[in-house]
Amino acid sequence: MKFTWHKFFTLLTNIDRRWIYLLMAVVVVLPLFFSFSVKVKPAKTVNMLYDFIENLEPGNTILIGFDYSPDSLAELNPMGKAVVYHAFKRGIRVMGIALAWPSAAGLGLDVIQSQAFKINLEIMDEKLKELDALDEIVKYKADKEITDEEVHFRIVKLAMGIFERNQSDLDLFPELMEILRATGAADEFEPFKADMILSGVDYTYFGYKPGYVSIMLGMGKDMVETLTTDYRGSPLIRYEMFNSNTNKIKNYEDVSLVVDLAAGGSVGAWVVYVNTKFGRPVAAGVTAVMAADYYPFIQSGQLIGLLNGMRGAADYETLNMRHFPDTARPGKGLGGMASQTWAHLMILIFIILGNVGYFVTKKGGEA
Amino acid sequence: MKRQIPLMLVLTLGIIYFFVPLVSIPWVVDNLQYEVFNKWLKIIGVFAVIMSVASLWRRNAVKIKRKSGDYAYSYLELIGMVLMAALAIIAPRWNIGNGMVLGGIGGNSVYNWIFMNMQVPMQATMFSMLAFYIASAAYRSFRARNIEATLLLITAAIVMIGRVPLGENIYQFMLKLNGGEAAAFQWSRIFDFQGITQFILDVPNAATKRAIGFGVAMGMLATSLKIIFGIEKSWLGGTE
Amino acid sequence: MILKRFGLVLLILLCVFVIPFSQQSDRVAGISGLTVEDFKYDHGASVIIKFKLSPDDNISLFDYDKEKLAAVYTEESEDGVTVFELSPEGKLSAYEILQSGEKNEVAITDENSLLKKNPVRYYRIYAKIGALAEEDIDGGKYVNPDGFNEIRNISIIGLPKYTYEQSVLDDIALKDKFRLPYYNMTNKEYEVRIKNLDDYKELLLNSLKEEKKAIKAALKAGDLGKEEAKADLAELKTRLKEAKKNFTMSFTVVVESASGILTFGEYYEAIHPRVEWINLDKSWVYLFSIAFIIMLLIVYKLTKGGKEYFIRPIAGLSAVEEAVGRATEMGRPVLYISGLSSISDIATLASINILGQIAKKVAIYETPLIVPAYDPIVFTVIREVVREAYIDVGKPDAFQEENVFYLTSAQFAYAAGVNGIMVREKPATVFYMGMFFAEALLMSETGNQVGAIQIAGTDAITQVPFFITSCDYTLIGEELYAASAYLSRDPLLLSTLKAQDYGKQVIMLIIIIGIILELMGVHWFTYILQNIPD
Repeated sequence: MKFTWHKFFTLLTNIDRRWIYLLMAVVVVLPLFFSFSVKVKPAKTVNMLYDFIENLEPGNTILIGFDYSPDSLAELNPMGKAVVYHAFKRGIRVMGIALAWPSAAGLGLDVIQSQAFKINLEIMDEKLKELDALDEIVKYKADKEITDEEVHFRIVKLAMGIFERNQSDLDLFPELMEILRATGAADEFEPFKADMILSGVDYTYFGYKPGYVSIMLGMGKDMVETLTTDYRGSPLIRYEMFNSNTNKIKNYEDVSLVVDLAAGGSVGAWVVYVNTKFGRPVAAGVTAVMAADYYPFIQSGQLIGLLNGMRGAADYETLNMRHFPDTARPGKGLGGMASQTWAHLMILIFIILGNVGYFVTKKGGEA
Repeated sequence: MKRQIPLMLVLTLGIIYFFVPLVSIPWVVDNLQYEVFNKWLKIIGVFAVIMSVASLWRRNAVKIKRKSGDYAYSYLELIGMVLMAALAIIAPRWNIGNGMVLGGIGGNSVYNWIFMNMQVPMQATMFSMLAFYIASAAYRSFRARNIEATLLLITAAIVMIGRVPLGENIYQFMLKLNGGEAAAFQWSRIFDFQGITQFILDVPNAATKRAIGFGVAMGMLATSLKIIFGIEKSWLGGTE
Repeated sequence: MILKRFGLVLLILLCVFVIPFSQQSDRVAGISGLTVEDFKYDHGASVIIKFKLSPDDNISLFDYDKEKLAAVYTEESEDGVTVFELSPEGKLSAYEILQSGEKNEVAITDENSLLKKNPVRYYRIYAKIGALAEEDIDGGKYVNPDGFNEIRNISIIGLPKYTYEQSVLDDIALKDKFRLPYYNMTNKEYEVRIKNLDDYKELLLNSLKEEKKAIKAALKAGDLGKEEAKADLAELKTRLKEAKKNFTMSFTVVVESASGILTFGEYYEAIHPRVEWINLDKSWVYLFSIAFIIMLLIVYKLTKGGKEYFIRPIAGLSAVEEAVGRATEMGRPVLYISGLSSISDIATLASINILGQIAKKVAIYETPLIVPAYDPIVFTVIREVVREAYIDVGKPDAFQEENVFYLTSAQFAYAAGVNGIMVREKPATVFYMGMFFAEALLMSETGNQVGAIQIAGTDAITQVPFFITSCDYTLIGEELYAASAYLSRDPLLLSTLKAQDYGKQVIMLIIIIGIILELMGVHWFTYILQNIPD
């Protein structure tokens, strides 16, 4: 086969899709192995949401709808984590619910609990370092062959279990619990209780509730009556968030903001049933594929903020880092920015190649 | 009669629901909205799930029975279905070490472990494939065939650059060349990809969406009315 | 005649002169137009307070009692700077400043700079049970804040586009103290919802009950005469009755400037929260809907009477027959995806209608029709629709129940399942009708690869481009809703499409008139349109 320019340009218009797939995989995966530091300038709609949460009062409550399934986790989990982190940092209470997909139940729990842990670790940091030096703990670590971090994690989990009165959490690490009780360390956790992020006090995760619109409407009347239990099946009425005399949550009246993290059409439902009907502000975090749909809602004021794909998460993380420079760290959103940049560039290059080939062969054909 | 009853139900409820947002009589709102609508939907939903699972079971069972094609997958599907349901519903909550619990759906249950370590990666893989498909679809279809296609191509390029940090870097670089924010003639503005992207999303994108939205809203209204008034009966299957 | 004209001219002149003067100037600059509305959707348990805040109007004590304040509290300092005294906390109200005599340093270079640099930053809302009494209002100018309680049950409704003033963001200390930061909104009218009014009512009723107890106790102890006690109790009874029937509250808005000056806004006398049974805010929506219904029914009746309308051809729908025929020729199945939305989504209903039509065409040729469902409720409906379609064309035996099945309600698992079906069964024709999300391209690209004829229809605008690149025909937006009527070729159904066209023409006309008027500088039309409640 003889090489001719015409053949070459025809080839450019007709590159096999498998080559594109391969190159795509390479440019997406490679940057993940190197830590490129990428800076982003937060978009307007992200700033709007951030400011809104920033200006809520401690003790206010936001409701997060986890309306995505594991597939879009890469885009939406970082958003959820950034928003929940921000809320917890500001002393704002968080409620989470999964309405659209049963499979989101675990995701929402992970998002909220991981941030609660993160902050509780921050709060108990000094105490944990102190405990590290304890002989019993050193022995426990050696026995179990685990790292400092893992022990910190377990101690915080037990501390939360004590305050949340969650026996099943306490049963997870019986030996460690015994050590904490014996050394009296468990009693020294008490001062941290007020600051710590605890289930039922600072957050409640309802898990997946079937019924979608009917649940959305029902929450406008009475949350306890409609949802009855949290993800573990414990009655909501037992929790401080729902039975306190001063700041209990009854219905949407007591929710300052609804943030819907969505990979499907749930944002529309939240807007129709919660914003229009109950007058609650709604913000959304959506996958980049469907984000273009929601900009008109921003203009009409039906959404007070919009996080657009992984970039939205990166923007929010950037804002968190600006406001909490000591503790906030770049998350998966910022981590993915390098990959996204390269992927976009690659697509652009292929489009250009395709067009060059197209023009040259078209001219050649006409000549 | 089989057709008359559903049509009458649809007509009556359709007309009642048309006026529900207008009234805020507590009795109507409470009873109709919360009691009737919510509870009925829940009950119907439960039965629908049972029927759905039965149909899925039936399809796979038929496949296995006939040993048709890739019937091995059907085994996998049925086993997965039974295993997950059993773990969540009937398995006892035994502590099985490593901080894990056998039954239940809590954060440290086996169910959750399988979910996080099998279902999540598998589904995320499906979603990730979108990146490959978009790349190849973009490559195939973004050709500057005519003026409209060229405009689309340019817009796509701007948005793609504007959506990643690269766009902002280019703008900052150009701004420096331009002599910073203070310069009188801001030619570097044309490289403000993030700003232009925001404009494209806010204005032309929103305008198009609204335009189509009007048509869609009209179509929805007309479809609802056709169903409520019984003009359209296809959803019942067949004609008369 | 002349007299009549003269009278008219006089009246007009009177209006021209009187109206500007008759407008009562705002009590405090910065707050105006405070009104309270019964809230209609919440069984009367909450009210909306409306008022206007303007950051450019300078809220300043000087504005309304400059001389009085200046006389008492300002003095020239050495370098010619006016010193204005405030309380130690720097946040006393005008009323309090007038009442107290404390002095303190807040240096203001000159009056004008104070006026300019002192825009509204925060506002709070205070409420009091019962109507305002004489002694609450000091000389008709200031409301005594002592009798008011700060409202805790506030929820802001409808915050449209806003941006914070940077200084507000910086000023965290102030922000923590006060409740509602001022949003620099283009529409400066605020709507604040005060909720749980029942609690206040409860409070009032309880206090009255306490009073009753006290009287009875006093009677028992002998501190009170029998006659007196009887009179008191009777009075209390009427008050209780009155409170139950006619519960009243008074509100006032307090605004604060950046330098910490509080001023009180107009107060509002007595509201009576009660249930509004008909929510007239929505009447516009009903007016338009009913107009559309009437138009639709007229067109329908006219068609029934024999009138014919031209309906533009839709390429994607004309191809349905051919696509089904192709599947029959090739001996391969037809795959129908009914969208990934619930039964309450009208796109799904439209999709089910189309499925009914397509199933009939497929049934005639006895081509296998595979319908994997996404939603359990949708599944039960489509199974019946397909079964009925087969019965309808007289081929009930051709219906294979296992081909209409529930797949999964997980978005991408569904896409994976559908892709698997495509790769294994190699359908000749694939329909995507209904609502689609991110999985649209995954399915349609696979369909493209297996070489099926693909016809898509969706009102999910973001997915339309993906369908266009990978499908042979795409129905955009409303065409999805038109499809069922179009496929049935029933003139009565088709007539409704014409009604939709008329509806759109009305909307377009309104938009064009609006644009022209706006360009001409006439704003009332746009104003009316923008202020239609949603």
